Amino acid sequence: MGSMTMTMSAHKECSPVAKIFLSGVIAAVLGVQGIASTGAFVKMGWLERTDTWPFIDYALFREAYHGGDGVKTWKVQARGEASASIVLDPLTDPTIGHLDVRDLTSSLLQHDTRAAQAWCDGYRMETGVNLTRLQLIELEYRLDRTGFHLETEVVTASLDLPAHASTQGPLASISTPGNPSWPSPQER
Amino acid sequence: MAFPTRALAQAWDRYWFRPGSLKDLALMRVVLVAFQLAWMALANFESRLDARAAVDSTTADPPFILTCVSWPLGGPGAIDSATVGYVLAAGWISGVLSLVGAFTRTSLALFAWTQVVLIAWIYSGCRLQHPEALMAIALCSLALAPSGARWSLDSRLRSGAHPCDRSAQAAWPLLLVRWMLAFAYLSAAWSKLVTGGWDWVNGYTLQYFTFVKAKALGLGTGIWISEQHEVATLLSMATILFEGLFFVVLVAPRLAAYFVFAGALLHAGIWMTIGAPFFQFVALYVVFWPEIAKRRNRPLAVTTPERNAVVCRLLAQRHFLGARAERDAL
Repeated sequence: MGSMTMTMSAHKECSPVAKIFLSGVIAAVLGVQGIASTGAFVKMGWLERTDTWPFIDYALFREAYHGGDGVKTWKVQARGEASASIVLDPLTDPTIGHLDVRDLTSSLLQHDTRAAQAWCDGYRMETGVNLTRLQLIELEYRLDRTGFHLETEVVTASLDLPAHASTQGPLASISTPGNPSWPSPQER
Repeated sequence: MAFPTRALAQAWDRYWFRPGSLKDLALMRVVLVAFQLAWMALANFESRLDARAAVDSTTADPPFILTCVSWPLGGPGAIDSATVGYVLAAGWISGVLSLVGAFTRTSLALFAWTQVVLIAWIYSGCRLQHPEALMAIALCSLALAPSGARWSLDSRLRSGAHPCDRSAQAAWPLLLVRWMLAFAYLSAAWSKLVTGGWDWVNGYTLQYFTFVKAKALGLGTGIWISEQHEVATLLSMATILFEGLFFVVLVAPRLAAYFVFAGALLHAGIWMTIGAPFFQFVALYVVFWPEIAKRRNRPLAVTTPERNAVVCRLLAQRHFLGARAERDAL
């Protein structure tokens, strides 16, 4: 009995109401995160379309790859009306490392002139080359034990730019495509 | 046979509302709030807010949580750059107050709210990232616990503070974050094994991911790893083992030091090779400090509830006798 009394007085107790409330919070957090961790949310009706952050799964980098598998990247080749030509490789050029090249691909394939124009205006300003033609080249690297090796190179889209393209675009907003102020096709 | 509801409720109570150290809880508060303030200052937080502000609000897709917590601001649609500026200022002020422990519960609640609003708002305009999610949950749990009972201005200024260092409400935030970390790592391991199977540890998989990410970001360490098949194989196995077995610390907390060390190495490696900054997870490892400290002080750590009770009673007596002596002297 004495031992029990001492144990009771050893710490500040939790009131029953606080305990019930906190138990509810703990159970809810455990339950929701437990379901989210399995990725089960994506199969549950309206939750499929609802972002459940901060209760999310951690299914990152989950696919498996094998020797011989390829990795596709894109290179943008821009030609000027003078003899100069520039090659912009999104894979190796850090200034365009944050650009989602797939957006550019779809813009080019749909011949969205304004998007392509906005994109290459930035490089005209950086390089001083008056661009007239833009090509999107698909590269495929092959994986083996010693790393990746370039295997194929295919032109997937080609676009002639209108003559007035190089004279448009505010200087401040087109320094690099990774810049947050880079204008979207809609804004242009 | 009746369902043992009473026994389960008692086991639940014994686990979550066990006497926990108020100092351990205060340490969690100080480390997590300091980390989050540093992250706001150093990790391009304001430029991410600016980038989000530039996104057309008609194309934004607010997370459900933002709808829930942004009602004081008029809902996700009413949040503009000016509102974000006020929330950010409130975040800085409440963060500093939480760190020093002034009006701790209120300031922690406000700080947690500002973090959830700001991060959820950023993610309403771009692709979701993972590192901040558990930190948001941890900050909310701190606001619901007596996090300012030690190492705080509140405890310094409050007269007649409880002389005992333990509280039944002090352990659950640490335990909850341990569970959250275990869920996160188990989710990572589970998804790899379900989707990729055992091929995930064939070495090529890690070579692939490190090449793609490191090449785009110009990370030399990652490119080097992508050219080392054997090293990539070993690292893949270590990753799966760590992520898949992390939940063991829930039942064997004495192993926490090994997992914390391995986890810190893993996240440092991930950052160096593919540039994914999961530093929040490393900060959250502070919840294992009680176990690590216990290992470090093993000869002194032979404690029992009865021994703790005696120590606390002696402290209470000393507190009481000291107060009476002061009164007698007057």
